[in-house]
Order: sequence, then C-alpha cells, then structure tokens
Amino acid sequence: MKRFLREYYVLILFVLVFLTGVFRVPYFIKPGNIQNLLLSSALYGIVGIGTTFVLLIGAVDLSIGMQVAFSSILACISTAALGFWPGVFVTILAGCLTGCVNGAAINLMKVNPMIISLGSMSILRGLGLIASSGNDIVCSNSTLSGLFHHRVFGLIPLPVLLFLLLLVLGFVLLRYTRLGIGFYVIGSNPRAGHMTGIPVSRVRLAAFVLCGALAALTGLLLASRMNTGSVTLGDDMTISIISSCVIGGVSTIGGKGGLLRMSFGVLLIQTINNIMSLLAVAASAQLLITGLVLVLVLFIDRLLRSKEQEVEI
Amino acid sequence: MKNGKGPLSLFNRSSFGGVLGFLLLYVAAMSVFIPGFFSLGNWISIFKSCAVIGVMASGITFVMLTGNIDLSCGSLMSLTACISCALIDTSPFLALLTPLLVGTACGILNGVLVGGLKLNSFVATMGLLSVYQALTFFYTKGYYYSSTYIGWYRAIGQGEILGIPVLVMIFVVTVLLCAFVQRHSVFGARLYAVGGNPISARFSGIRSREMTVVVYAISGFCAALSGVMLCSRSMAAQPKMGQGYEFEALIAVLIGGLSMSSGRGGAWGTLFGVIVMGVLENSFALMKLGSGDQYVAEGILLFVAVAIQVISERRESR
Repeated sequence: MKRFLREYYVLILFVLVFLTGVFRVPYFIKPGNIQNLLLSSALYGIVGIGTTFVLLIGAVDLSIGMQVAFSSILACISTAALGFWPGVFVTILAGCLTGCVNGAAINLMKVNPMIISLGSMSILRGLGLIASSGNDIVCSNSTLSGLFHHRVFGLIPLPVLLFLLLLVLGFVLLRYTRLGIGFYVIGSNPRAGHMTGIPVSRVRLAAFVLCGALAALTGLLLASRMNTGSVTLGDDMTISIISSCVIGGVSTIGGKGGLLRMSFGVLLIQTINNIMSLLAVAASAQLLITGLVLVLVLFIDRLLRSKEQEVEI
Repeated sequence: MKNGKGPLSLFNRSSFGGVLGFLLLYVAAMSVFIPGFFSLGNWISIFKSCAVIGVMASGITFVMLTGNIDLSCGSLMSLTACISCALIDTSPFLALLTPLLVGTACGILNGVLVGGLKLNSFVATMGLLSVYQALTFFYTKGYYYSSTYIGWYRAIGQGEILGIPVLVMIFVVTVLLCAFVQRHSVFGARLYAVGGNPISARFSGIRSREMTVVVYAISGFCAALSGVMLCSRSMAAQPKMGQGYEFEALIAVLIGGLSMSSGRGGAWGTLFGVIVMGVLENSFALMKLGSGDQYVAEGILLFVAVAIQVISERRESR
C-alpha cells in the first residue's frame, strides 16, 4: 500500500483535482476548455520529456526555459527567412547544438551541471535579445502560425499527437535501449556506470542533445501558439517545467523517475492552473499554489521514504 | 588548500588568479580605448552600480559554501523592496527594519526546509521563489510604489559621504564583515569544514542542520538589505524588480571562484566576481553595446572562470 502510495500519489492528486474541476467549476468540462488543457499539457509535456532525461542523469538544467524561449525567436526568424521546413530544421538543429555544448562542457569540466547551465542561460538570453533587438518578434510564416491548432485527420490536435508519440518513443528508449538504461545507471551511480562499461560521457551528451531538441520543438510550438517569439516567454518556464517533473516524481539528484508519472505531474500543474484561470484567480495565486505544491510534494516524498533509505550526513 | 601567509595568500586560496589576470588586461585595454573609463568618477559609478547585487551575492556565498543553493533571493528582494517602499511615508525607521526582519524570517524558513527537513536545496528554494513572488503580488496588488520622502532613508541609496556613495559603503562593510566571519570566526571555520567534507564535518561534531538554517538566514538578510538599497536608490518599487537578480548574483559568486564541491572561495572572491560584472556592464554601456551582448559576455566569462578553476584544481591535485 505504502509502495503504491509512493509511486502514484501524484496520480491520486491529479484525479482529485480533476474531479473537483468537473463537479465544482463551471465550464471546466466543456470540450473547448479540455482541449485547451490538453494543448498546454502537451506543450509542457514535450519539453518535460527532455528535462526528465537530463534530470535522470543527475543534472539540473537551469537554461531549459531560455532554450524554449530562444527557439521561439529562432523559429519566427528562420521560418520567415527560409520557409517552413528549412526553418524547422534550423531551429531543431540549433536546439541539438545547444544541448551538445551544455553536455560537452559538463563532460570536459566535470563540474556541477547547474553551473554550466547558468552560463548557457545567460548566453541564450543575450543571443535572444540580440536576435529580436529586445522586442517580441511576430511570426510571419502562415504554416508556422497554423501549426499549433492543426488537427491531424481533422480530429486530434497536432501537439497532443506529437506529445503522445514522443512519450511512447521516450518510454521505449528508457525501458528497452542501452542508452535509456544508461541514463538511470549514471544518474544513480556514475562510477558504477563507468565500471560496467557504459560510455558515461557519450550517454550524458546524448541526454543533453535530446533535451535540447525537445526544447527546440517546444519553442517552435510555443511560437506557433503565441504567434510571437520572445525572451520573456522563458522567464517563468524553467520553474514550471522543473516543478512539473519534480512533482511527477523525477528526482533532481538523478536515477529516479519515469515519463508516465512525469506526465501526471505536468497534467496536475496544468489542471490546477486551468481551474484557477476559470475561477479568475489572479496569476499571483497560481504562482503561490505551484510553489506550495512543489514544496508539499517534496515533503511528502521525504516522509514516504524517510525510514527506509535515510542516509544521514 | 594552501595556507601561505603573506599578501598573495588570498589569491592562492581562492583560485581566481586566472580571471584576475583577465580583469587586469581588460581594464587596461578599456582604459586605452575608452576615454574617461579609468577615472575616479567612473570607478565610483562602477562600484555604485554593483553595490546592490554585491550585497546579495555576499549572502548567497555563505549558502554556497555549504554546498547548497539559494534561488529565492531575487523574489525576496522584490518582496522586501516593495514592503520598504510602502512603509517609507509611515515611518522611515520601520521601512528599514521591517524588510530586514521579513528577509531574515524568510531565510530561516528556507533554512528549515533545506537543513531541518532535508529537502533538495535547489527545488525547495525554487518553490519558495514562486511563493515569495506571489506574496509580493498579494502585498502590492500589482501596483507600483513610489515616494517623495526626503530624509535619511533616501540617503541610503542616494547620499554621499566625502564623495563616496553610501551604497558603496554598505557594500564594502558587508564584504568586510562577511570576510571576517568566514576567515576569523569559529562559525567560519565550521562553514568551510562542512563545505569541504560534510561527512567528516559531521564526525567532528559540527551541527550541519543549525548551520544550514544560519547560512540561509544570512542570505535572506542580505537579500532584504539589497532590496532596501534598491528601493532607496530610486525611491520606487514594483513587484518584479528583483526578478533575475538571483542568477546575476550566482554568476558573480561563481566567477569569483567559489567551488560548490570543495568549499573554496569566499567573500573576497565574491567581491572580485561582482567587480568583474560591474566593469563589464560599465564598459559595455560606454561602448554603447546592448544588454544582449552583456548577457552573452557574462555567460562566456562564467565558462572561462569555471574552466580556469577546474584546470588549476587538477594541477594542484596532481
């Protein structure tokens, strides 16, 4: 029972919040609102998958929100200049490159990954400001603008389908490939990973590259949703994304967590935000709730595993 | 850690020699190329512009020496600046005292969560960042504050004594106090012991929980003090004014050579990191470069500083 609670209390919280929404909040269950909720969740879920990979190897990437914001600017500029597909290609490639730089710097210097990400956050913010000359950039490519609300087969919204597809791919990667298992191993014990013949540096690099690519994809979709690219999009995003992952049970010290539970973390936060918007609760209260839920979940997590694995330092 | 005595022992211990070289070269180059850069007036304005961030960074240094991190400083600064600005017209004395108390109390809360409940310092302070930001919005209801008060409170941010701004004096005194506590007190010795090797520190009877609470309280107090300084500088406050300051302060601390894993660095290193950031900002403004260029330069500088530190540590351990 306790084990079940430990694994799935996020799911229980989500169901409770969702039911509260259904029975207590007017307009919550309307198709338009549910679709909106799913779209937001898909957006955060896609970058959440990448962030989970990086968290699994024991790294915290502070630059993740800025990667998304920078990609939104780059997507607007490059699709306007080169056309849709080349622009998408350039954006994703730049995301991979960012991840590559992050990963390579951490491999070379062997310092706390957070320090490196602090530097790359600053650089990305600067590059974004330079590229957008300090303003918001309007998307002029009509294909990009229509992307977010496109429905595949006239039915499933494209971002949701993309998210589900990536979720399945990520699940397979983590469960059935050497790379995915490598994430878990070097996250829980890098030295053991090294001894069992896992190419630690390359696995770490791969996690960051995947994360960069997924952040770029999210930036692209975000640009399509907002019809703008802007540095300010990334300000609160890092906190939202990492909070969602942590609430979804991904450990920030590595080696623990899964994509399914992460998705419930994303859904929980997005549902809470959605309900509060419907109830016209101020954005500041939403911030407060996110912060409190984060601390609460950390605390519950701490309580549930306190007795078994207490390593007192 | 080397323990050389003499004027240069500071630089041996703090391992920021490489970046110091860069700073000297940079200052020399700027002095040649930009007229008016190397003047007393400009140096005073450099120090004045980085005093606020310097006080915050000095507080964060304590937290980072124990291997933890404090991301909540920026929003704590917004909160205290708004409280301070709202209280000026009632009582300037309360406008100084209340924010400092609030800041220290919030710092203690951070410390209890991280030290007492053993929550991950990164995530816990990130959650509290949101909480403090939200409290700021509740308190101000989203409004901006400003005051036309003329008196001693205004002197904190705008006054000068013998040509030296009061802001700079507060900054220098803070650094001196922090350096004294870190180098010459029992608390400081324990701080470095915990940062260097938490397990052996525990075996030698150091109570790391209480210590964590104290370092977060110091960080909260410094964030509040920098909030008061910021408010008094412009006699105005708005609920998002501290956003991003925590990252700037963290970058300054890290450029100053602080190593979170081995417990190196300290108040002098942080002072140095803050000066580097200030010189960069000032020279970029004089060269009419935008804030975008400045962010890029700061990021690259952080990479370089960390690389130098890593190389020097490896050479030492060889």
